[in-house]
Amino acid sequence: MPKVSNEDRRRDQAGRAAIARLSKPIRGRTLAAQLFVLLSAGLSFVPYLALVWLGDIFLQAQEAGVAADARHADEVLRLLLAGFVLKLTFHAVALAITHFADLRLRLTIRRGIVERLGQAPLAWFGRNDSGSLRSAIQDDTKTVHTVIAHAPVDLLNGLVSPLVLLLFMFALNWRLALVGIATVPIYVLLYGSSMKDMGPKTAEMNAQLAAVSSTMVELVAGIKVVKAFAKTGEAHERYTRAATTFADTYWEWCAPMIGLCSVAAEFVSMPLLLLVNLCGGGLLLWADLATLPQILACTLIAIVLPGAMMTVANITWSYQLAGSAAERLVALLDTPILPEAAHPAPAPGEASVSLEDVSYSYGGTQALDGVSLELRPNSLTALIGPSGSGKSTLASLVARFDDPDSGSVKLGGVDLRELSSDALYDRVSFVLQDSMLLNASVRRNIALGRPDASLDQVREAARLAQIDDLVMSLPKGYDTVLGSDWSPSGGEGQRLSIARAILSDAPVLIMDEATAFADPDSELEIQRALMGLVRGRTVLVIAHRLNSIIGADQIAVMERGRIVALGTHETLQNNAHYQALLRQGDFPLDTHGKEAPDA
Amino acid sequence: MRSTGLLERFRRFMTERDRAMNRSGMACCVLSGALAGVSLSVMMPAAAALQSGSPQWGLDFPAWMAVLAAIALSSCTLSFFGTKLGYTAGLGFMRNMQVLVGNKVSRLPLGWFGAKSAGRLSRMVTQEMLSTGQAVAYFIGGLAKSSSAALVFCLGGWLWSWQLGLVLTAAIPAVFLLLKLAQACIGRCSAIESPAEQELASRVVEFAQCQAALRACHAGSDYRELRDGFDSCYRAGHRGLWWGVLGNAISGMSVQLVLVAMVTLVCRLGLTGTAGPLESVVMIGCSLRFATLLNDIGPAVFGMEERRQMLDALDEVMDAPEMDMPEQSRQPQDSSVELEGVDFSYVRGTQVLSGISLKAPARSMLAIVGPSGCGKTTIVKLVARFYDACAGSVRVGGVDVRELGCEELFRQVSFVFQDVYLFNDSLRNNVLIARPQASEEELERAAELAGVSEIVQRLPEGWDTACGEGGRALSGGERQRVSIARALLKQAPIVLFDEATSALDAENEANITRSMAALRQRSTLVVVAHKLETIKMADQIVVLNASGRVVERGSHEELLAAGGSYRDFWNKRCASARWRLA
Repeated sequence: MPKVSNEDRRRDQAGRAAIARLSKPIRGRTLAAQLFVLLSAGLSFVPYLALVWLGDIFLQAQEAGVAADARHADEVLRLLLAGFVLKLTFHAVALAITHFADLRLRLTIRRGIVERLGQAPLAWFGRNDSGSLRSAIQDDTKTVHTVIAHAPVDLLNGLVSPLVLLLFMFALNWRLALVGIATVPIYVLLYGSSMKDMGPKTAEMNAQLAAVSSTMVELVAGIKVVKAFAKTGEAHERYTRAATTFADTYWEWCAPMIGLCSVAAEFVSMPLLLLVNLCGGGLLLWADLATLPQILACTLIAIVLPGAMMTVANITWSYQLAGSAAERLVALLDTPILPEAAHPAPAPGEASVSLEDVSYSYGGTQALDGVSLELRPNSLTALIGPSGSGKSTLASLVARFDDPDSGSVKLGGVDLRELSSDALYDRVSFVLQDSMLLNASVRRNIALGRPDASLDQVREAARLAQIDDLVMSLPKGYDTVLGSDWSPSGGEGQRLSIARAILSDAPVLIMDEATAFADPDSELEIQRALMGLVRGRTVLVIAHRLNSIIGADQIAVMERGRIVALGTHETLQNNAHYQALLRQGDFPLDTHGKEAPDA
Repeated sequence: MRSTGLLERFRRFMTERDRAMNRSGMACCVLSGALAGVSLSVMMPAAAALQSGSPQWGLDFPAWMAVLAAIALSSCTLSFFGTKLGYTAGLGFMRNMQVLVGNKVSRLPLGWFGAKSAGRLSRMVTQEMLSTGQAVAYFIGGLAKSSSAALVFCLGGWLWSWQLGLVLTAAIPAVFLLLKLAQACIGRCSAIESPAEQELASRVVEFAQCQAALRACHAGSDYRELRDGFDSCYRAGHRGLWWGVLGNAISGMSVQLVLVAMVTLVCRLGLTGTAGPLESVVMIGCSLRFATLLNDIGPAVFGMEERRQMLDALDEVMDAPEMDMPEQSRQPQDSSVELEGVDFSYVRGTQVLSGISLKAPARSMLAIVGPSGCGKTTIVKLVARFYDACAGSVRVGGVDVRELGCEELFRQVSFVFQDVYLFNDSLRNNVLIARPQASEEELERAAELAGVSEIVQRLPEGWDTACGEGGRALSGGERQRVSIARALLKQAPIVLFDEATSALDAENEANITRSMAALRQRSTLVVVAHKLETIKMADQIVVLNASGRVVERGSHEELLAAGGSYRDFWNKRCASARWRLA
C-alpha cells in the first residue's frame, strides 16, 4: 500500500509541475484576475451589513415609536446596490481577464505542440497514433484550461468569501461569532477522521477501476474472438470479477465512513445551527451583549459557512484530474526533435545515395545493423525480405524520417544531417502506402510542394498519374475539395499522391511497391501512374513481390536488419538467401499470368 | 419535477433491497428538508418574540426554542437516516449497474459493436458509474432536501405575512430564469467556438497523418490550411468569449441580483408601513437566507442534466435489441452454408444485399468476388450472425441460424476477418484460445502453416512474447497470421475467410494459400476473395455487382468460358499481377 501511495504522490507532483509550467505564460494575467476576485470576494459581507444597518434603523424607529428614517434606509439600500454593482463589475472583469488569458493559452499550447512536432523525426508519427494527438489538442487543453484559467480564481473566491464573512462576524460581535462557529470543530474532527488514508485508498480505487476498464475493453474489443471460441463466459467472468472486487473494496472503504459522515453532516445542518445560534443569541441579547439584527446576520452567516468550505474541497479535486492531462501536453511539448544543421552544406548536384555502415534501433529492437548500400543516379534498387527485416526502416532513413544511431546516409556525397530540410526534400520524394491527402482542393493537393505551379502543369502531372480524366469529370474539376466534395477511393488517392510526386520532380524517389496493389479495383491505373513517376529518377523500392522488380538494377535481400545478398536477378540466381526466398514462395513469381487466357 | 422520472430510471439498476432503501432514504430526505424549512420559518416568530419580549402566536422565546429543538432533533435524525440509506443504495447501484451492463454486453449481437464501443462502455462502467453513483448516493437526496426546505420556507413566509410570501415566491422563477439565461449565453459561446475547435482538431490530425508529405513539400508545421485553422479558432474564440463572460457573470451574480431586489422591496414595504418594523427586519433576514438556499438548488438542478445524459447513454445500451435466441438449439445436419433470397440493409432504405441466394455444400470452397463495397463481407457476417437478414434465410447445415444457439453456431463456424483482436497475453495463449486442449504438435503444425512459426522464431521471447493491448506488438499482417492459426487449430466444420483487400500482406500470400488448402480438406470454406490464387482454388465462385446482387456463379473455368463480367475482371487482374516496375 505505501508503495502505491508513493507512486500516487509522485504523479500528483508531476501533474502539479506540469500545470505550473503550462500556466507560466499567463501568470501575470492570472494574478490580475485574482486581484479582482479578491476585491469581489471582499464585498461578500455587504448584504449582511445592510441587514444589520437596516435592522438598526427599523428597530430604533420601533422603540422610538416613530416611522423609520426613509432617507437613512435609502442610503443603506444604495450602499447595498453599490456593493452589488461593484462586486459584479470586479467579478466580470476577473472573468474577462481569465477568458482572454485562456484563449491565448490554448492557442499557445496548441501552436507550441504543432511547431514542436513539425521538427520531430518523421518516425515519431509512425509510432504515435493521431487519435491521441486529437484528444490532447481537443480534450486535454480543455481540461487544463479549466484548472489553469478558472481554478486559481474560483479557489481564491471560495477561500476568501467565507473568510471575509467570518471576519465580518467577529467584527460585528465576537461573542456571536464564537457561537456561530461552535459546532464546526466537531464537524471537522468527525469528517477529518473519516478522510484518513484518503491518498493511498484513492490510489487503490484507481488501480481497481483501471482493471474494470481494461477487462471491459477486452470483453468488448475482443467480443468476436470470445464468441467465436465460446469464451464469452470467461471474458465476462473476468470483467465481473474486476467489477465485484472494486465494489467490495469500495464498500469496505465507504461503509464505516457512511455513519460517521452522516453524523458529521448533522453538526452543520441548518436546523441545528439555527437552534444553537438563536439560543446563544437570545442569551446574549438578554445580557445586552447583542442586538437582534446582529443575531440574524450571524445566524445566517453561520448557516452558509460550511457549504463554502465544501466548494474549496471540490475545486482541489478538479486539480488532481487535470494533472495527467497537463502531463500529456508537456510530454508533447518536449517531443525530441531532429536537429537541423546550423550551417547547411551546399546542396549536392548528383542524385546518388549512399548508406555507410548504418545502424538504427528503436524500442529495444535493432532494426538495422551495419547496413551499407549505394544507389547510383538513375538506377532502380529493390529491397526484399520478410516482414520485419528492416526494408521500410532503411528506406525511411534515406528520406531522413530519423537519423541513424551510427553510420551515415549521404545524398550526392553530403551527409543528410548537414543538409537543410528544404534542400533535402527538393531532392527526395516518396510514395508510400498511405496517400496522405489534405482536406483541400485537388489542385492544392497536387501542387502542395510547388504552390506556384500553373493549372496546366498540375494537369500534366495528373495526366501522367492517370487521374486527370477522372478529376475533370467531377463537377468542380480541380477545385473539388477532398473529403467535403469527394472522397476518393484508395486507388484514386494513390494516383493523386503520385501526381504530387511527379509535379515535385525530385530526382530521388522512395516508394513502396505495395501501392501498386493497394486497390484491386484500379490496379492497372495505379501501375501506369507509377511507371510515369519512376522514369528518369534514382529509385529505392520496398518490394513485396519479386515479379514486379525482377528487372531492377540492384536487388538487396534483407534479413534481420542486414543486407545478406546484393545483385541482380541474374547474379543472385545461385545465392542461398535469394533462393530461400524464392522457395518459400513468399515472393510469388509470375504464376497466375501464364495461365490467363488471351490477356 | 423531472427528477422523479429520473429516479425511476436510476432505480432500474438497483436490486429490490436497494430500491426500497432508496425510496425510504428519499422520503427521509424530503421530510427532513421540510422540517428544516419549518425551522427556518420558526425563526420569524422566534426572532419577533425575542425582540419584543412578548409571545408570538401564543409562545414566548424559550418556548419557540423548545419547538426549534424538537424540530432540529427530528430533522437531524431523519436526515441522518436519509443520508445513510442514500449512500448504501448508491453503493448498491454502482455494484449492480456494473454487473447489469456486463451481462448486457455479453448478450448483444456482434453487429452492435462499433469502433468506439470499447471506449464508450469502459467509460460507462468506470467514470460515469462513479458520477451516477454519487448522484444516487447524495446528490439527489441533497437536492430533495434543499428543495423541500425552500418550498416549506416559502409557505411559511405566506403564513407569516403575505408580502414576504409574495417576495419569496417571486424569487424562485427569477433565479431560475436568470440561470437559464446564463446557460443560454454559455451555450451560445460554445456553439460559436466548437465548429472552429472541431475544424482545428481535424487539421491537427491531418497535420500528423500527412506530416511526411507536408515536410516533403516544405510545409511542415506551417501550411496555409493549418494556419487558417488556428486563426479561425482564435477568432471564433474571441467572438464566443463575450457570451461566455456574460453567461458566467450572470450565473455567478443571479442570486445576488435577486437578493438586492428582495431587500429593496421588503425595505420599501417597511418604510411605507405596509409591514411592521420588526417584521421588516426579519423579512430581510429571511430573504437573505432564501437567496442562499436558491443558490444551492439552482446549479444542482442544472448539474442533474449532465447525469441525465449519462443515463440516456446507459439506457441506450440496456435497451439495445438483443437477437432472439432459440430456447432449444437445433442440430445442423452437415457443414453446408446456404443463403436463400437474402436482403440486407444496415440503414433503412439503403439496400446492401438484394435477393442473394447461394449454397456452399459441405466441405466445398466458395469464393465471393465483386467490386469494393458490394457487400461481400456482409454475406460472411450474416453467416456468423453479426446481424440478422432483413428477408430470406441464412442456413448452416440446413438449419436457419436463428434456430441455432450461439454456442452451437460457433461450434460450427470459425472465421478469419480483417480486424484481428489479440488479447494482451502471450502469443501462445492467443493461438491456443481456439482450442486450449490442443497438443503441442497440433499447435506447431497450425503455426507452421499460418506462418506464425516465422514470427515465433524472429521474436526474442518466442511463443511467450506478450502481444500488447489489442495485439499492438504485432503488425497487421502478423496479427492476421495468428488469426489464421486460430482457425486452423479450432478445426471448425465451417470457416469464413475475409481476405485483406490491400497488398500490404504480399508476404502473407504463401501462408494464406497454404492454410486455405489445409482448411478446405476438413471444412466448408467461404472466402471473400481478392487473391487470384484463392479465387482459382474455389469449387464455386459467386460474382456480385456493385448493387449487391449475384450476377454470375460457377467454377473458374465455367465463368471464363461464359465471357461475362467475371472474365473481364479476371483478365484485368491477371494483367496487373504481371506488372513489372522494372
